[in-house]
Amino acid sequence: MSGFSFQELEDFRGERKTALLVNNEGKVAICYDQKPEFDISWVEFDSKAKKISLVSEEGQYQNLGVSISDDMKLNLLKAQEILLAYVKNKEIISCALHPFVVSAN
Amino acid sequence: MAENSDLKKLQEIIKETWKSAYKIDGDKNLISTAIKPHMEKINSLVDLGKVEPVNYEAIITEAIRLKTTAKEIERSYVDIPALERNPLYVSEFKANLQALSIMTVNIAVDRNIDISDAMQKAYEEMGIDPEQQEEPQIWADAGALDEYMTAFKKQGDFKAAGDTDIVPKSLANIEPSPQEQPLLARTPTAKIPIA
Repeated sequence: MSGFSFQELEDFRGERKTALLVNNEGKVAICYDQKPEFDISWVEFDSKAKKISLVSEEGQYQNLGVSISDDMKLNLLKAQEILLAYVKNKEIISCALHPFVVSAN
Repeated sequence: MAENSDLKKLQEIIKETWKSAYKIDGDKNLISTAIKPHMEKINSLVDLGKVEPVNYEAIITEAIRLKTTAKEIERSYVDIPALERNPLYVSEFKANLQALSIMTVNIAVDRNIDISDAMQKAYEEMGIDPEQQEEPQIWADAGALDEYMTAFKKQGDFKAAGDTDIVPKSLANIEPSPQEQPLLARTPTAKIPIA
């Protein structure tokens, strides 16, 4: 049996403080105060379900758990990359750009 | 034939990855030189698959080696001043690496191949600590990051959701307007059981 499987984890937000920032130029950022449980490879936006998911190469994925308004959705459709910022006491500890994949299932 | 189409796409992505690596290599040519043997080996394995059964496991392992090599060398480019690297080319290179990951995973899933083992093997060969891979990457390309920071420092034009009290000032000087208040409300979220 293959050791590879898709694994859906509980919402990323859960006990974390998490913020999603979007502007009308398609710039998107997610701030969080606890490290992700896995190495994020890309971020997916399901425009129909209005859900953002963090995805790892190993097949783990996690719904962000933040609600997305229609205004935000329009701006998210323009995005091609997303800034993930690990924040402690309002100071950025580290941040990285990741590909942002929009799907319309 | 579906199988050949997958491999053709993989080869195209690898070719694009090599081209974008060459663009950000400057006069060092470190990434493009390091990934070329992997690219050639994949091409040979695909060619061999035309006359005998395709060795998908070997192709996937080689694609992982290529991607891991490129990623590790790219990280070592941190000491190159950001201004010497065109952020557009860096983004293009990273997007190609991600496309390569997605394509490799797709092929592995379709053929029921254990990609975790192949990744572990590649990390061991290169002396990489898998635990280290789980750390959040420190963004090294200051040029692109500055652009982001500048965008987020602009007043207005932003929508925010979630716990915006954690957003550092360096990312956003967002003073939520009354109209935006509903967006800031914490939203109950469904808990998804671990599969």
